[in-house]
Amino acid sequence: MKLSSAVLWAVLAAIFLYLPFSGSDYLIGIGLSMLMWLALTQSWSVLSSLTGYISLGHVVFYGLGSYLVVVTWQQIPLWLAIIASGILAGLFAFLVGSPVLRVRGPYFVILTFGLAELVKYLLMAAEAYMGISSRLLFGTPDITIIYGIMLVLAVASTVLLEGVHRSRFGHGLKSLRENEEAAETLGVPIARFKRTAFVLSAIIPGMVGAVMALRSTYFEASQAFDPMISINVIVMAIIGGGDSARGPLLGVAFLVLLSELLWVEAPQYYLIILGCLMVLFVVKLPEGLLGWFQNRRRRLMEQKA
Amino acid sequence: MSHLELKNVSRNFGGLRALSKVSFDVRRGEMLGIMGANGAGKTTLFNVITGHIPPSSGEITLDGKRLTGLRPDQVCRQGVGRTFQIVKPFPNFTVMENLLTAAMFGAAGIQGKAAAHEHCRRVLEDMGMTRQADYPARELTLSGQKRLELARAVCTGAEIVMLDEVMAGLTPTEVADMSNTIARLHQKRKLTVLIIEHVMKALMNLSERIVVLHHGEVIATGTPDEIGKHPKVHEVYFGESR
Repeated sequence: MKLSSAVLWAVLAAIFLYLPFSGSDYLIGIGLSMLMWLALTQSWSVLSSLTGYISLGHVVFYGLGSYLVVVTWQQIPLWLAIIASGILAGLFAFLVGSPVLRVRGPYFVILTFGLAELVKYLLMAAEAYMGISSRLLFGTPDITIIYGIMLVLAVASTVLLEGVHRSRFGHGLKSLRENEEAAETLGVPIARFKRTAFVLSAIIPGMVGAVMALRSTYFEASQAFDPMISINVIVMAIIGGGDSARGPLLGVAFLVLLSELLWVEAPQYYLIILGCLMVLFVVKLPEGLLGWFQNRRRRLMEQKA
Repeated sequence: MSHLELKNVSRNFGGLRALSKVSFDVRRGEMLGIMGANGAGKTTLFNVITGHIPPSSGEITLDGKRLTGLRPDQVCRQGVGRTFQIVKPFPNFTVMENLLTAAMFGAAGIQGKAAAHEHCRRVLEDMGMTRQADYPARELTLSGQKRLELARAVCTGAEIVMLDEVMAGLTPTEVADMSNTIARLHQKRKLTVLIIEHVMKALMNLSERIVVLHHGEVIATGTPDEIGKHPKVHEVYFGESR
């Protein structure tokens, strides 16, 4: 690792480790929200950035995790419920992976979106059938504990993406993103690799969903499976750009801070500005903030030379 | 013993018989040309061998082991590499990154990055492409991309390399260059080469033996000289019968 990025990660670690001791609920809240988006976006990137299979249904894992924690609340230990949430999400990805990953491009986008909505409505129907409209959680842990677990998940997600990105497995994923048929001809077992990436990208959001259910202290399918969560993840990844863990980090920091500013100053404009930003980035900066920084640095180096 | 063997391989597309009871064998280290007009079934033949299209019937074996029924990635790991007529580079990868995929996942199966790099560097050297190692593949000329396809197939560590029109669309100088490269790789790396080519002169010069396909059937097999004089080949190509 280069010195500059080591320093960057150290500073970040220091900030996030300091926040829970700041005593400000507002700051802890922002920190938690950043960590949550970070964990979601990094895990999304394991499949979608590296293979180019853009999932618009990442929230399905989050929702499943939330649901599992809520139905097992005070029946099994919390740590077990959180781990089980990750396993449930991974298992779900494993089961639906083979058929879903057969379609590419826009079809995959629509299919993942539809799948997440399908699970949401199935759960809503099941809950309505049982006569439950929303579930409440009593006796959830303190926010600093929630923050601590989320910090672990965000770090795990970052390490996962960075590890896969640098590995032989990651090289195979990027090859199939470039040209699936050529990758297969050169010996990449594409079906198995895509499925493995899908499962890896599902586990952490399952656990994130579990933890966020503790934060909100209630469960409602329409919120736990809110498609805006999936969309936000994509926007953050696109604004960040790149294959490595640094891109999502930039995108998350940028959007969370922006939304905080806007909630204070002009909450009604948040979605409008989000839409404009999205267009701006796709048209003007398709490689995201990370690509923009790297190009600038390259140009400065060239000027010096 | 034959290295690669095809026994009564057929492939239908609906009512069309793209390959009809094709049988031939390839000896280890041989350079075998495959000739035929457009639509004769040459590329289908390649696709059937590499597992991209399953044969409707028949059997293909490599050193006695069945290849039929394997997926393309499995065939590749058995030691069969190929190029595509319409090039399929990884456009946003550098030339070296393109080759690394082949070295790490193909029959060579090199796990370590440093060792894989070294392996690919040697192939680039053999092909005279060392200077392009860090070029993005999308910036290569057509000739460069065709050479990259060839380099990738070799980097998989394949014993058999199948070349599908690697000279199509190249200038005469580039064709000569490519011919030399293929001959050099064939000798130096003791490769078995199957080559489909429309550039007749290159095919005649390179091949030790030629198989002629016509409407999915093998109509002649022999040395370039024999094929040049074969009455059936003349009939098909020039419409004359002697």
